[in-house]
Amino acid sequence: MGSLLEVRNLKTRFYTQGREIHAVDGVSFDIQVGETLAIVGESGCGKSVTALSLLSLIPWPPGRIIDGEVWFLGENILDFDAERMRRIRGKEISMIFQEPMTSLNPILSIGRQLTETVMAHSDGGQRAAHARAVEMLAKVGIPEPARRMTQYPHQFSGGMRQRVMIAMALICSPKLILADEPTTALDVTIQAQILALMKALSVETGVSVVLITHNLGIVARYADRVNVMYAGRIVEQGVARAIYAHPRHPYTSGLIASVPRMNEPRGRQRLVPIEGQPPDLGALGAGCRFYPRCKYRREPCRTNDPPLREVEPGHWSACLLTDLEFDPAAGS
Amino acid sequence: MNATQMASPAQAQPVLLDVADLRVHFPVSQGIVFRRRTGTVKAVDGISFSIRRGETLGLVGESGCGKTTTGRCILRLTPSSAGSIRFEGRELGALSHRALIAVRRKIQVIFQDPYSSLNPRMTIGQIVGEGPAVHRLTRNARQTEARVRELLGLTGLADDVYGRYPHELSGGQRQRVGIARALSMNPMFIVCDEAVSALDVSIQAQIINLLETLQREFGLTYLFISHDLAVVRHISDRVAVMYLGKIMELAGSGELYDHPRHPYTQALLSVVPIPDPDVESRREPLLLQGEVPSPLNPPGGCVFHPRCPLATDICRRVVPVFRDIAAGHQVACHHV
Repeated sequence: MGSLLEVRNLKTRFYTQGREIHAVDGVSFDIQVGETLAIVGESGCGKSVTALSLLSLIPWPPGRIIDGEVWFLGENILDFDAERMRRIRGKEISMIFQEPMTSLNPILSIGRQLTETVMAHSDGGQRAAHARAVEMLAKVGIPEPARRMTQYPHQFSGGMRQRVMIAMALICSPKLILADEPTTALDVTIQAQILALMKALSVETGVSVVLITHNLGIVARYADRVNVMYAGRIVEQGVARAIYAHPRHPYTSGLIASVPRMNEPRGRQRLVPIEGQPPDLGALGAGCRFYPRCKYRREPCRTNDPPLREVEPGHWSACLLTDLEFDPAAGS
Repeated sequence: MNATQMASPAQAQPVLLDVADLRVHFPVSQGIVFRRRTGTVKAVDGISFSIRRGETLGLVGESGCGKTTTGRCILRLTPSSAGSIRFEGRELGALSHRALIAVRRKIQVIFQDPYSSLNPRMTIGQIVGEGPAVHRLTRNARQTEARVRELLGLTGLADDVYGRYPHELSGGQRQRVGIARALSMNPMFIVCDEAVSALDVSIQAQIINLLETLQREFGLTYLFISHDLAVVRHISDRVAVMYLGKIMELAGSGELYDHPRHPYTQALLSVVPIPDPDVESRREPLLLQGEVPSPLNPPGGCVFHPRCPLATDICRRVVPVFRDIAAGHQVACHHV
């Protein structure tokens, strides 16, 4: 396995009302061939902006990628012009959004939207594109695919629309799918169907998946590796099991402690919230971004902004504290 | 301390709210000039449960199962079609307008979305102070202000929030304002309708803890409506699982999550991912086939039968009775 995509020092800012919002502020990670990488974090941490930045989908105004590189198949795709970027989107890298109703065109039939995608990226004719679209609808579990091709998005349920989005994302056999909260709008039984489908298809086709979510349970079930984001930065990075078993950043451990778990003995144990709220990304101080909310903070944390460092092979954390100073069991 | 010990004080308490065979049917009509009734959506179709004083009853289910309608019915925001809702032994539907106003003070609500449930043109002080002033719980403006400031403190808000507007606050702060507003009426009973669902997990935990603290302090009774099964398990003494307008299973929280008996409950619990990769690698979700049918045209017999792995002929023909299978554990299934 090798790296499919490498992100280096990505910085995306938004300029609104005379303020400069550091939405993504120096993010680096890579995606291996065939893996599912989760980006987890709370609202406003920059996880969606990271995904949009990879495909140069940041609207200007108000947003702009001001620095960084995204290496894909040996080329920095952030240097691409609009035309070359269009050839990547949907063909090599595709995206699944949270709300399929807003990402499907309401006045075009599902079949038209699927065949359009195929024909934009291949030389085959209408007939081949139609056959491919029917095949994909069947593959994502839509009954009577040929008949459904003629229908419009409003004739599909939420779960079925998300299946259509997955079909559209996979129809050109991409190497990477960016799935931004793909099941957040769905009920849990449908969520389970959709995620199981995505997992099966990724195993079958070998496509890499970036799974962006706020749900720690979904990450635990589906991700191989995890990036934990906070206030525009990756604060912890590593294999999912290692991160859950032994989080090395106080934010990650706080996040895990704040969710109720169905497998724990139910003795009305108190949840341990992270006090306070995330910082204003337009007025960041010099020190660690998590400093105001951190239970383990020390004086140096107030002024030193810690970079990611490798705390054990393949496990990175952006915290000044050593493992001995930071012990979740002792802190709570 | 185990769950049954914790639940016992509430069990000794009298029943505060008793819902019996509640039905809420919405007519569906077509045509613009000649409107004709073409069907009925049975949003809530014959549910019964009771809540004791000081207890939290969780109400879970997927979208469209009728959980929110049930809450709105108890608040008298949606009229019921049949059945009874008794609060402190009195039938809410039979109360005069005047008596209902007095009861309404005791029954409050916290909504999901603190953005749309707070008036953007009013300051926080006005929002929280409106109820006590209208219901004359405070005698003059000075008393109202003192009461509001006390409530802000109780819900963990800084005192300077008093003169601010909702848009100046974060989502978590706004939800605290919603809680302060509910508390301002000295209620006995609060319907929490997806009260923590819109919040980030670190903030969600703050609000859940606040709700628990206030419950202990003021002896509050909660109907906690949510689609989040892990949160419901954490906060509830007992839990009712709804599907297509009916309660499928109702039991003590520990019992329901450890020994679910209804096939729908079993499937629902199995698909909720647990935030632990080691645990997850050993679990196998029971994937339900298909989707929730339209409540406009619900299946005959047991409403769950088209998706049920255990369904047999009787399930297609006969509506299962919601019955006791053990003390405090009720299920509506032919195969349990």
